[in-house]
Order: sequence, then structure tokens, then C-alpha cells
Amino acid sequence: MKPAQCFWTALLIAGVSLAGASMARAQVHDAALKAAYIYNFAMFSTWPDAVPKTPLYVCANPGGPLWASLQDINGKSVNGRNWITAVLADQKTTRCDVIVLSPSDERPAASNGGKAAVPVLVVRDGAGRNGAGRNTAAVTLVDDDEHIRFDVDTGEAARDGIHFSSRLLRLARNVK
Amino acid sequence: MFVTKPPRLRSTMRLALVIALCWRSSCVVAATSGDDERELTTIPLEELVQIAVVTSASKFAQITSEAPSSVVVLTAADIRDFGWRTLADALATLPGMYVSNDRNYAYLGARGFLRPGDYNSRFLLLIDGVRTNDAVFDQALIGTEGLVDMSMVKRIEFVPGPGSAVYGSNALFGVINVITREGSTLPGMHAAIAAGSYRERKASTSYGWHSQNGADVLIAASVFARGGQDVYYPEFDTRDQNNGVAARLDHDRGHNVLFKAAYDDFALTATHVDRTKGVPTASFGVLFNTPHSTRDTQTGLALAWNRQLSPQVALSVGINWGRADYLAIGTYARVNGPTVNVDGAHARWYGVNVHATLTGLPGQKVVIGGETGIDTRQDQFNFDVRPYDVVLSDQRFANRSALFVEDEIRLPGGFIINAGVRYDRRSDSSSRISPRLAVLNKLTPLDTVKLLYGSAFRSPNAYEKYHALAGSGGSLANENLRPERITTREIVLEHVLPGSGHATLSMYHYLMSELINQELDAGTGLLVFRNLDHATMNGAEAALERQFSDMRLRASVAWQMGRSGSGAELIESPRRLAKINLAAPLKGSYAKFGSELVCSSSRQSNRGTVGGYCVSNLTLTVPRVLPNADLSLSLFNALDKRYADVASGAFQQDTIARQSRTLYAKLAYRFR
Repeated sequence: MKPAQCFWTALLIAGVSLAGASMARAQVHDAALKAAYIYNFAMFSTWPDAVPKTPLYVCANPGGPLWASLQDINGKSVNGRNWITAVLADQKTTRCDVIVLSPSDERPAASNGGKAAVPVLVVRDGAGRNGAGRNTAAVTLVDDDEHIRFDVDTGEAARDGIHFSSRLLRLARNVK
Repeated sequence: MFVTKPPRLRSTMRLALVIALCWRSSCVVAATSGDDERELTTIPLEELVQIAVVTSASKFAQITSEAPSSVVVLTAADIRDFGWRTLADALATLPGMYVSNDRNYAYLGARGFLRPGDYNSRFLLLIDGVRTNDAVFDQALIGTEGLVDMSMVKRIEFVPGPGSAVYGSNALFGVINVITREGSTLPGMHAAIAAGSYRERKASTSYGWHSQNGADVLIAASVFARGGQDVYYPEFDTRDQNNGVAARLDHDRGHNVLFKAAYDDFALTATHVDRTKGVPTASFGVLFNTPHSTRDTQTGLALAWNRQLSPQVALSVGINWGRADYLAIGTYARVNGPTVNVDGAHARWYGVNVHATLTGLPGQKVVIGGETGIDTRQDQFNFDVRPYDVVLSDQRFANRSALFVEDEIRLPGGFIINAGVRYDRRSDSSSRISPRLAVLNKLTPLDTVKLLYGSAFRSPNAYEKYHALAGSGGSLANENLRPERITTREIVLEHVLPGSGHATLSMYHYLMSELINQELDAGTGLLVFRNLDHATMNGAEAALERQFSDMRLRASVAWQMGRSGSGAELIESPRRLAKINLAAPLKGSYAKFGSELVCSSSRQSNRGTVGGYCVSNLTLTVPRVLPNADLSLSLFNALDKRYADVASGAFQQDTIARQSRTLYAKLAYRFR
């Protein structure tokens, strides 16, 4: 490459980069959108043993990509219950009404297999690793090219003691 | 992945604008940091599902940080933003990779290794997890002859390094897995038309349907044609050879069909391509500036069944069938004057595979599987048309079977050990065992170190062993060819960047033994494939992926050195590569600007040195330029850089010039 051509190429790329930087617009991480989804899932779910005005504990792994976005919803009302984001590992000491799993998280043994000890809504962000454990969530968030979708497993939800509204089911990509 | 925001929004107006801006199935959301989540939670679920997002490959960082390799993922957003028309365009932007083109096919090089005359047989190309390399040439189709139209691609995953421990033959330098879209991601009817320089045009359409019971259908078809340019080759610059200008011989045309159907645990995928390319280079000894073309058709059919038998056991069974046909028609000088000659191949194959994923043991994931198949036809033929004279008629078939096991073990202290081994047996070649070992350690939540050891092999293909033609531009058979083998050692450091993105540094040592190489036989002057003693590739790659603000940046540099056993530098082996891909929105509009820079240092050719280059490609994408219509404009080789690739021994030329600057425009429409 001739020095002149090298110069023009570098200038072109630098120009585009600077133009892009100055033109950049505000945006928000997709984690925020997924957190909003999970808020809506909670809105359209029924916990048979729910006590009004008690906190709604949403448990997740603090190292997961959704943790910060879930925390930002703290204090917001879900059908009269205040959203509180809690650490999933502390499940023995904290009741979990919602469990949020990242693709690499394994579902905690306490809520695994058979009927859950207490009703719990399990949401997985993406399919499990290489198909392992892919059916262990009542709701699975799915990334596609331009949108975020969700799949509902009513059998899994029933095992966990959760009922969904028809409005939630209507908007799901897949319902099993 | 980010949600884009219209400019100059006041916070109190955001929600109203969100709803107002929704254009049926796609809308953009106004939100900034701070109270994003609270605002998004006020949006009804019906509208959340319609929000369009911009995808970033960095969302795969968490998954790839646990992969036993430095995996790179390219998304449909990348394909759109950079205007990639072929797999080769996309793969050329990956760290340590480079692409050459001889105006017939596109060829892929990695880590300083590209053998001119080889049809990408050192890469395994999967479409939705199914092998597509054919049974005669082992060819991975990555140019305009590719099996799938790029607008139907959802994701491209590239796993560099040896993959034979899982996939068997051909996975020497990497595994390319192309994941196609489904009806759920492309619902309804879509159509697109495109036009470009040198009379290039293309039309495509697709229809997608999805039901809540999981039933899913996608059907897509595309057709393209390109007139091509008249190309000057000084090697043929004589008065009786049109002064070195190959006129109207660079044409390209073809069509693709994709059909996918899924229901319950079953998934069916069918792919088809038919492409005819004019060859202006007079390769393989044809008379210069006479009609010469190659036609490649390939069809693939795959049925997969996946079921989670229990929480600890997932089972996957697949059957696949494929056919590939190749035909080259050219004019040769014979004793009786110019004679039309036909060279061709028919390949047919089918296979069955089964594998189980077991997660019952604590901290372990075991994958165990096996496959068997038959290459029912590996036929090659060659004949002169008039007078009819059969030069080659070779029919072969081969059986193959394999067993493999892979175990991922999670140990205390952030260690993950990934060990695998595969046993391959072929009726036409010796048995092979391919081991792989990866030790991963999460030094911190953000840092991972990977130590990788692997081995892979490639059996010589029917073309290399049995293609024999007497006369000028001909070839010699070599039935004594042995499989080539590669052994690799690599260290990878991955650092997750705060926010969104990651940086990767890798250093590697590849040792290739019994390398199969095409050369000119000293005695006869014919092309022949022989096992060289060995070759080594040493190098380092640094790569960065970053999403900051609305911009998406991917950059990499590679230093590499490929040497043969005698210590000589390998041909077509650049010592340095650098790439930058930047996608950024334009102010005050929904338009996006994708700029790409691909640079390579000089390379050794058969007779000298071919110069380095930096090529820049620019793409402007304007969504909703009309209701339901998106427009994209691309300028490829924007600075009209003159550069060339090393030619194989089948060419009289030492190098083949690459495409000059071209323009391309595409209009895509969604029917409602």
C-alpha cells in the first residue's frame, strides 16, 4: 500500500469513527428491556399463596447480566407488592417469588424436580448451555435478530405452583 | 444488544413517543440510563414484544468465555450493517482470517495458512449444525456459490482451531457454523431487490410462519446475476489473444432455495444452490478469451430430532443427505484445433448421527455420540466433446464411521476442564484418533485464561487422489496420499470489558505434518498433490469487541509466520493482518453507517512477492425509507485499491487481481 493511499484510508476510518462518535445517540442496554419483560411476567402471574402488600422477592445471581437492571426496579409495585431484588444464593434465608437464571446458571436444587416447596416463577434468560436443562423454566426469554421473545411452559409453571393470565400466554412465541 | 432512541426526547414525552413511533411490528424506545427500567416497565407487554433492538455480538461473551476456544459470533445485524453478500465477506473480518478470490471461487485462509488450489477443505462448514463439505473436493462453499442467501442467516459462529475431536475430518483450522433464521424471526412475506456495478442484480423473497405450538415454517428463494467486467491479464497480451483482455467472461449467476420446517422435537432443513461462474483467467490451460465456466449445484436435506428425555439427559438424532455436482466447460488447444472439453464431478452422500448430553454427574457435562455414513458417489469425469474422447472416468465410494466423547468438568477455584476424543474410521483411508484438551480458569469474574491443546486430521479427498488428466493443464493421480494432521497449542486470555464488550489475546503454535500440497510434477509438468514433510504456523492475535453508546466496534490485529519444513516462508501467508468494523447511527435519523477496513501485509507468491493492501467497504442502511421498506447502499473497495491474490499452479498468472470499486443498492420490503 502506498503511503498516500494508507493516509487516505486511515483518514476515512478516523472520520467515520469521529462522525459516529459525535452523532451517537442515547440508548439503553437490552438487560433493561429484559428486566421490563420479567416485571410484566410477574404482573400476569398468580401466586396462590400471595399475601397482599408483602414484598415480591426477585432472586438472581449478582454476577449475571440482568442483575443491575433488576435492581433498578426495586420498590416498584407489582399488583400491590413491592419488587425487591435479592441474591439467589441466599434463597435459604430469603423467600424467592421469582427466580431469574442466566444461560449459564443452573437452577437451584431447592426448586428443582417435583413440586416446588413454595410457588415460584422461574425465568431463564436464553436457552441453557448446549441444550442442557433447557426445560427447567416456566418462562424463557429468547433473543432473535431484532426482538426479544418469550416461551412459556405451563406444565413447568404448574409444577412450580404458578398460574399465568391468558394475556401473557397470548403474547408468547411458544406455549407448551 | 441495545435499544435505539430517537433524538431530542424530553423525558416527559418519552412514553407517548414510544407508542407513537411504533410502526406496527417494529418500533424504537426512548430511554436513557437512570430510570430506564422504570419507564420500560410502564410499557404494556403488547408493545414490549414489538420493540426492535440492535444486536451486539458481545451478548455471547458470557457463553463464549466458557467455550474451549476463542469463539467469534457474527450476527444478522452485522450482515445488514456491513452489507456482506457472501460468507467470505463476513469471514474476512475475523481475527487472523483472510480471503482470496480467483474470479471463480472464494478461498479462506487462517493463521497464515492458505494453500492456493485447495477448495477450503481445511475448514468444516456446517449449516445449522450439518456438515456441507462435499464428498469429492471437501469444498466449503463460501463465495457467491454459497448454499444460503446471507439475508437468511441469523448468526455465524466461528470456532478457530482444530475441531476433529468433535467433528472429524476437515476441521483443521476451524469450524464455521451458519445458523439460519426461522419463521418466527421472519414472519410473513418479505421481498428484496438489489442492483450494483457491472450489471449486478438480485431478487429474493421469503415467507415465514410460526404457531404457538412450536410449528414453524420458513421458505426463501433468491436469484442473482452479474455481467462482470472485462479483465486484462498481461501474461496473455498478444494480438491473437485480444491483447490480454478477457471480454465478457467474468459473469456470475445463480439461485438459492432454503426450506425449514419444525414441529415438536423435529426440525427439517433443505438447502439448494445452483451457480454458474464465468472464468476469465484461462486457468487449467484453457485457451485465453474463449468461453470457460464452472457450474456448481449442491442440495442438502437434514432431519433432526432433539428431546430432553429427563432433566439430566438430552438426546439428539439426525439424518442427512447431500448431493453436489460440478461441471467445467472450457476450450483447449488440441492437435486437431480448439476443442471443447468438459470436466466434472458427482458427489452423493448420506449419514446418521446420534449424540446424548448428560448432566447428571455433579459439575460435569458429558457429550457422547457417534455417526456413520456413506459417500455413495465420488465420481469424476473428463471428456472432449468433438471428437468425443473420454479422458477420465473414475467412480469411487467410501464408508465412514466415528465415535466421540467429550466431558466438561467444573472444578473449584473457577477451573473448567474440557476434554474430548474422537475415533474416525474410513474405508479409503487409515483410522484416526483426535484428542482435545482445554483448561479454562476464571482468574476474576472478568478475566478468563484458556490453555488449549488439540489435534485434527484431514483425509485426502477423491479429487486429490484420483483426478488424472493427460496434456496441458492436466493432472496426475496420487493414490498413495496420506491424511494430513495438525497439532496445536494455544493460550487465550479473555477480558470482559465493563459495560458491553470484551478483549481477547491469543498466542498459538500449529504444527502440520504430512501436509497435502498441490505442485507441478518436475517430470511431466502436470499438477499433482503430494504430502510435504511438515509446516509450522506461529502467531498472536489481539481482538476487541466493544459496544459504546450506539456504536459497535470490532477490531483485531494478527501477527503470524507460516514456514514449510525447509524453513521457507509459506506462499499466500501474510505476516500481519488488521481489521476494523465500525457500525454507528447517523444523527437525526434511523440510518446507520457501517465502515469496514481489512488490511493484509505482503505475501510470497510462487514467483515473487505480492503487495499488501488495505481495503475499505462502506454501507449506509436506512430503515423505513418508505413504509415497510428498508434501503441499503454499499461501496465496496471504496478507495479503488488495486490488489491481488496468489494464484495456484493451475494458472499461468502468478497473481490474480481482485475486484475494483463497486456500488450496490438493496431495497427490502415487508408485506403486511
